[in-house]
Amino acid sequence: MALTVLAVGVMLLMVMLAARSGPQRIFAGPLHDPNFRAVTPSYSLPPTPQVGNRHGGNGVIHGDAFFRIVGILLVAAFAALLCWLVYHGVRRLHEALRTYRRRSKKGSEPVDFEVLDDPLELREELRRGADEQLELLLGGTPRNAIVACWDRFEDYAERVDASRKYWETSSEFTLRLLDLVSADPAAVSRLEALYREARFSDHDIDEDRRQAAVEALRAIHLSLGIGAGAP
Amino acid sequence: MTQPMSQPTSQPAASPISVTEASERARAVLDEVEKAVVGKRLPLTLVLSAVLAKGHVLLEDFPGLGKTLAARSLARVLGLDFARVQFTPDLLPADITGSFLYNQKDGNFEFRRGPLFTGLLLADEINRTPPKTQSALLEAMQEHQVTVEGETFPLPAPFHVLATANPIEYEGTYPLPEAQLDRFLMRVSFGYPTTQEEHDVVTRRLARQQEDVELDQVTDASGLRAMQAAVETVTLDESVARYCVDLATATRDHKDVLTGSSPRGSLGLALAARGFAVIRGRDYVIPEDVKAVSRAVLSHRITVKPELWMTQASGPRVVDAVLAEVPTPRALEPS
Repeated sequence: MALTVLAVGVMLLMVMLAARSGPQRIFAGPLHDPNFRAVTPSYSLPPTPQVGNRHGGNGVIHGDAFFRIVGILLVAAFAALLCWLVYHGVRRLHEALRTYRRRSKKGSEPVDFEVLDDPLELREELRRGADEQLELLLGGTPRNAIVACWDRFEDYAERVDASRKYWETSSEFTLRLLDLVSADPAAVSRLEALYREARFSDHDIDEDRRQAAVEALRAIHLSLGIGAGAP
Repeated sequence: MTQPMSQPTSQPAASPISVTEASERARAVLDEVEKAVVGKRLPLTLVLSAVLAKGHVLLEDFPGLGKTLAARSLARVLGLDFARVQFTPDLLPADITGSFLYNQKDGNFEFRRGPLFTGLLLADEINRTPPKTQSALLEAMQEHQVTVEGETFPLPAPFHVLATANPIEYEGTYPLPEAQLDRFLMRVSFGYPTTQEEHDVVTRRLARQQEDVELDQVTDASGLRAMQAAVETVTLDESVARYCVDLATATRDHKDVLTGSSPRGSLGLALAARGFAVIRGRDYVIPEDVKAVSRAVLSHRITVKPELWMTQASGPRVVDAVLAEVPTPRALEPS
């Protein structure tokens, strides 16, 4: 868009300059042959009664007034274009400043995963919620229990300001989180597979699956130093 | 120009197999094809997903990156009849569909089948032939039948087209219009191999002391039909189906896009994701499957605004942007 406006501006400027320089140099160019006089407008002709006539009797264009008007119109168009550019430039600048201020005011709002440089906080949060998470897994139907248990990882992450991006899948987010706190990868993988099956398949999710999920969760907790037998 | 082919159009019914069996067979196919096409597991998985979803694939890449080899190897390993047509500017529709020829012995006109009557057709450099011939092929892809002089001939099942196009050297080409690109379930690029993979290609060639790679047939046309039937049983949760639709519709609202994906794009996402899920050993689709196939399924269905031709804007970039915008299904749906 800006490129188009610039191109139009440059074209207008060229036309304006051409209009201001008058028809002689544009249509005839500079005369190099001193003997050639035929195309030079004759200013020594006696005044004729047709003052408004723009064409001389010998076919030469006398358009000073016309070209002046065209020139003025072009200058006006160029000025309008310049105003438009300045207006939009100022508006863009204003918007950029406003966005910058909003971002600096909110500070940590666009939470990226990188904020979890120190995973201790998350590990502590997981430790605090371990019993509750296990209770969730043991209650209700196995399908709902497994999904709720997995979802709880997201909740813990949110509590330490590492909420899931809405375009990230739950598995992508939770796997990264658990990887960051060095949870047992095999157990994480088992629990994730159970979550996916419970959430997206129409398989019968029975008590055996629940038991497998409990074992996987305990293994994850154990690898994080939570629960009985933890180092 | 074409290779001889022969395949009856009658197909025996495929015996049903489970998703687990289909998955094992699909992985065996990929392992075998990888003996010939080195280090391209993901693009090959995408191509096989499209085949399992009964779709056609456009392979767009630079010359010498293994497009033809991949197509030939897939045909061999899947046990399908293979025909290759080099699309040239003088190719006519009848050259690919077939035509009626006068039999002097009987005094009748007999239909001589063209290379379309095969299991896997490699349409090489499809953009080098005029639109008339392109549309003859694309009609056959869509309808799975050919009509010549008012008579309709069904194509064999399975029938798949792997078309190739060169993204450079546009002079003298006829780029496929958007409506025809839409007929391809996927557009896949193989890309250049890594240094290690390229070294592997050289080493393997020297070790086998011949140009051709010997590949074992893993299945046949009937087996492939059974695998395709297994894909049809794969579960697609409603939230995942909505995610497919949201991705396709989001391409229509992107600021760089003139024309976004058609509803065929949403459908393509769902079908291709099911094929992908089977290869990954699941009988249900997860959002990650949809993400994995979305670039290949959607990018060729997007037309970028013409004024952005000098910028970096492109179909794949729009798909990447859309993937970073559209919310994925949550673990717990809000009640």
